Amino acid sequence: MAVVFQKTKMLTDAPFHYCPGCTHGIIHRLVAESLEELGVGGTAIGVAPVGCAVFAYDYFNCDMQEAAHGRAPAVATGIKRVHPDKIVFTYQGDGDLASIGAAEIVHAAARSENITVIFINNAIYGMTGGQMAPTTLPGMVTTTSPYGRDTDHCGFPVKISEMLSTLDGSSFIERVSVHDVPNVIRAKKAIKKAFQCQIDGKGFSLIEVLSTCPTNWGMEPQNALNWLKDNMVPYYPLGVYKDKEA
Amino acid sequence: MAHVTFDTQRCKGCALCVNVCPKKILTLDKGTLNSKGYYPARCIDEEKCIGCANCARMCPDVCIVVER
Amino acid sequence: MVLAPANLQEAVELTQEGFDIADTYRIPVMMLGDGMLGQVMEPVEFGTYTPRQLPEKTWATTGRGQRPQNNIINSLYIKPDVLEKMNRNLQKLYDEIAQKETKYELYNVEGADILVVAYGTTARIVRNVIAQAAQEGLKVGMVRPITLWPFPAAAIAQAAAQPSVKGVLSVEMSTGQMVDDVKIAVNGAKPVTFYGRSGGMIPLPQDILAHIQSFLGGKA
Repeated sequence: MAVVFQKTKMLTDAPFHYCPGCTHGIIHRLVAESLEELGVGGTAIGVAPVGCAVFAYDYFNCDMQEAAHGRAPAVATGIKRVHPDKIVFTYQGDGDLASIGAAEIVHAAARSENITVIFINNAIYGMTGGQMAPTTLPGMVTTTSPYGRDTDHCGFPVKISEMLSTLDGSSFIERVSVHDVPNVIRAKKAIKKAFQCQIDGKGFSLIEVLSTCPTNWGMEPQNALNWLKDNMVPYYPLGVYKDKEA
Repeated sequence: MAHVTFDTQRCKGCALCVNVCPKKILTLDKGTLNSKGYYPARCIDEEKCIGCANCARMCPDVCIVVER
Repeated sequence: MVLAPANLQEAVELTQEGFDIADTYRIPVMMLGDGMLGQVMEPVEFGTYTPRQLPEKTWATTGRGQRPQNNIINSLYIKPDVLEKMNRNLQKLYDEIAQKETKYELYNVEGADILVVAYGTTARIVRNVIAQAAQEGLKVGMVRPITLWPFPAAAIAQAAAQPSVKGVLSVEMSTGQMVDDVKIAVNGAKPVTFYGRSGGMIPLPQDILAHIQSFLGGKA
């Protein structure tokens, strides 16, 4: 018998601290596998977020830096400008990227920084205990919207992929999901394509991955995946939003 | 013929693998608690395993090795 | 203003008062807690704080309406003489605040051999040090700043000036953020020593006491 699937060498052996069923683990693996398969593991430099994935540098088997909340694109800009031949990526949640880091990501995309951003959208602030995020859906219950997000009071979610694709500087933007195996496979293809965009020097790439937060959504892991499919996918449609190659 | 190995100590009993197995041969072993206090996943009928690796692809903790 | 509660009841009351202070003087008020206060559970009574009489906001931007002049809220003053006048007014305000709002607690200070200055959770630990020291015939007293700004310099100077006091110890969960303020307050009258832990390590009463004993031993 031959091994058909095993853990990629681009992940360390450290057990993930994430909650049971949290999609961070799946997406970490997809990013790591993509780097290994593209042969850029040895030149990869990642920038970790502030959020549940703050210790991402314990899990990715490559050089990594910490960044202040939301500022990973700025740190990545510095790294890539100094090391243009290296593959520089950020891994950011929705509080990090769409809230405090909203200005950073807009300008990194506008400047067409040749970096790859992996954006984890779970419609909530995870690490801090489930508060409403810019990506929280209308009507969604969180600790700071206990009766459901009221658009009269708190406005509407931010659609990052759509928004950034309007910038001439963004080169490849795709939104994917990980709620079932076909989508996990598609998500990996998109992540690989984004890294290839960087390898080819084509500019700014971002993959928005719709993700779950079973603990703060108050659901069992499988129910959280189902909720994602039924509620998040209709609001945040999957697909390619920008592709300068196309 | 296929064979799956679960890292039972790494497993958090999230059951995502159980739900994506097309042959429905995975379950959480309610008779065991691992060192983290979870019921780890296990295969109850490996004869039926087709080595599709759906389980491994879905596992958030990268616990599963699939051989075929 | 910087307020340093040492327990949850104080945290509640100082937060409520903090809003009133911010309102009265138009200054930012910072609640300086620590990880311990953030994680403990203690019984708390609400309603113990009597709200202050707050001033009328004649300066607020509410729309001109019938007011004789516009209200402008800004911080930019281009002319140096105007800006200096502004700074002098602010200094007068800060002196008024120091005069009226400095808060501290004196604990076992009368006739103390060693005066400890500590705030927040550290101050609670120092109470244990004081009890343990008493068993060894050593009288330790504490000035606990409750406002870290304005700093209770006069209270510390007065307590340190007692003939019984051989030295002043600043105990902190830091590598020394308050000790300089203590030194300035004591102004060379008595030796000042420092004991600190950092990174979230909590100082143990026996270690603080050992530091006091070695300090006194060195002086003998």
